[in-house]
Amino acid sequence: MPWMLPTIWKNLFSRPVTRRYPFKDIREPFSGYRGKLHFDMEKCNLCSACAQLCPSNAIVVDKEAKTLKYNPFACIYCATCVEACPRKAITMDTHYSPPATVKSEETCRP
Amino acid sequence: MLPEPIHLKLELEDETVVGVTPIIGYIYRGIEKAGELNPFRNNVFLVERICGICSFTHALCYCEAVEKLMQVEVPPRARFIRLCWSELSRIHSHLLWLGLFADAMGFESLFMQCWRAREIILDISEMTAGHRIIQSTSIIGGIRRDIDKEMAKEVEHKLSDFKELMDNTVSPTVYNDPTIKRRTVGKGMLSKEQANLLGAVGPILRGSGVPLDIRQTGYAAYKETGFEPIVESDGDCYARTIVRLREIYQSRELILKALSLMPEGDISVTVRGNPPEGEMIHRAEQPRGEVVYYIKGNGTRNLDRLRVRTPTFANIPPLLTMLPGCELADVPVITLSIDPCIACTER
Amino acid sequence: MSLEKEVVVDKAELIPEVQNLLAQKARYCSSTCLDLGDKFEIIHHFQLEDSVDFTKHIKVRINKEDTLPSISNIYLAATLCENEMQDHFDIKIIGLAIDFKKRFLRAKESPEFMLTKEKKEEVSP
Ligand code: SF4
Ligand code: SF4
Repeated sequence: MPWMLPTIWKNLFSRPVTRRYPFKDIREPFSGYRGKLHFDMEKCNLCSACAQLCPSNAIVVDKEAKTLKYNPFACIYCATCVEACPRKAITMDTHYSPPATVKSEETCRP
Repeated sequence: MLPEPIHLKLELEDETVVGVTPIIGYIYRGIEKAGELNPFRNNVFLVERICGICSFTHALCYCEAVEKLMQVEVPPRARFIRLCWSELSRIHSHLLWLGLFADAMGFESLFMQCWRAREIILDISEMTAGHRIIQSTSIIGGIRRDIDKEMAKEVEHKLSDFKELMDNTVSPTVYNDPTIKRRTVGKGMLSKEQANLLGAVGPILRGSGVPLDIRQTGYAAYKETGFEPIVESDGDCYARTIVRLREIYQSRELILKALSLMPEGDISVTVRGNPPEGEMIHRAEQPRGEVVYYIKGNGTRNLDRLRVRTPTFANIPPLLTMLPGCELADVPVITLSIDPCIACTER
Repeated sequence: MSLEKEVVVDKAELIPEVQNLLAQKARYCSSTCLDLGDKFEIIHHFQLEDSVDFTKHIKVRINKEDTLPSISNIYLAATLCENEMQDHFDIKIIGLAIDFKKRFLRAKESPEFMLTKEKKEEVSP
């Protein structure tokens, strides 16, 4: 057992290696992280290219009502829509969406 | 502790197991059916979700199968980067398994150290691919993100940190610790002949002395980097542990080699049209063993049939022959030694 | 495009063919079942010991009401794949080593034999 003593001694006084998520020392995501989606409705012309390619049908474009509905809880953050949009109206930031208590949809209007 | 929804009906005689029947079907999701209803391009994201750990290899195997069927040539750079990601997923899967295995033996601190080392690998994944586990970076015709020179440097740097951590904590423990040896040596024996006959795959097969690894077929860029399977001949739980531990080091070497050999060029080609009529079978080596994809196209954008044979599916029959004769207390250790992933088994 | 090195056999020739492979120490890989409309096609994939590439695919075509002889008494590993076929396609397989009675993957309330073609409309995506 004595060979364990230095380790015990060291661990007694060193800082924890874990982070106190979600309160403190949260690591910044890397720059390429695919996080939350933002729709720039100034640019969007409701061409519905994104809705057609989305693998999880998270985007629904309604041309009559002129709305674009986005369901962040169905989205798998694959960035297919970001690459597909011909007018570059969709952007992603590097933060993941926080947990929520209700599943809500976003409705965007131009 | 067994973190998987499998029900093993054991027949006992005192403390010895004499018979076992597996009962699965608790998390059946019908992914093969969904694969027929989805357009073939979207299936990439679907098959990634078959397994939460080896997801990139699923995507790679599916993409290569479709590319082979459509006779698309993928740029070499894409193949090298695919190799890097699939090896990263191998490292983190083996570490996850080693952690759970240690936990099943009651070795909590090894569990913590394994997962700590795994975090470095997940950071590399996030940095290069954008997500930690389900990366969604492989598409039909190539990949979606490049690893540039600077990033490759950073990856090398992190991998050397990783090696240092492994050398100091995990590997000496696995190689020298008497507790691990007492729980694993001689437990769950599987001979070379049995392993072959029962169709075992992956580290179970190689732990029994059969030098078979699908990476030898040279898919992705394994032909260029060269590959030699790792084999241990004892055929017990300890041999499987050692195979996996050595594979972690081998994967690291493979990533470094691929990063240095990587040619310049495009990372994807545009693929037009639908898969033609015809069938194709493709295999890849996942952390848990060989995965078989059978696809049948019919000229439309939906596939006629998508069949996936996942590694754990093939490893259940060997498990059924390993268990009889062992003691009840060894059942969790032996079951975990095949690295069961029931979610992939049922799909 | 079809599979390389495939052999199409009759139902009666299946068992001798597989026994032949066992004598050559082939490794059982997987089985696939397809619905061809009026027939089922079952493909058993094998790998010979001395090579890493696939070496043999054995194809059997049977009528929908016909029974299929099980190869699980020769290769125990095939029993899971055959049970899965039973679940998905309602094929009658005789001589299964472990028979889950069509309850291998499905529960009581699961959709019926969901991978067969004619019932395609009933299954919601
Ligand atoms: S693809 Fe772009 S422009 Fe078209 S509907 Fe989507 S967000 Fe709007
Ligand atoms: S990120 Fe993917 S899943 Fe999410 S909305 Fe865009 S295409 Fe759909």
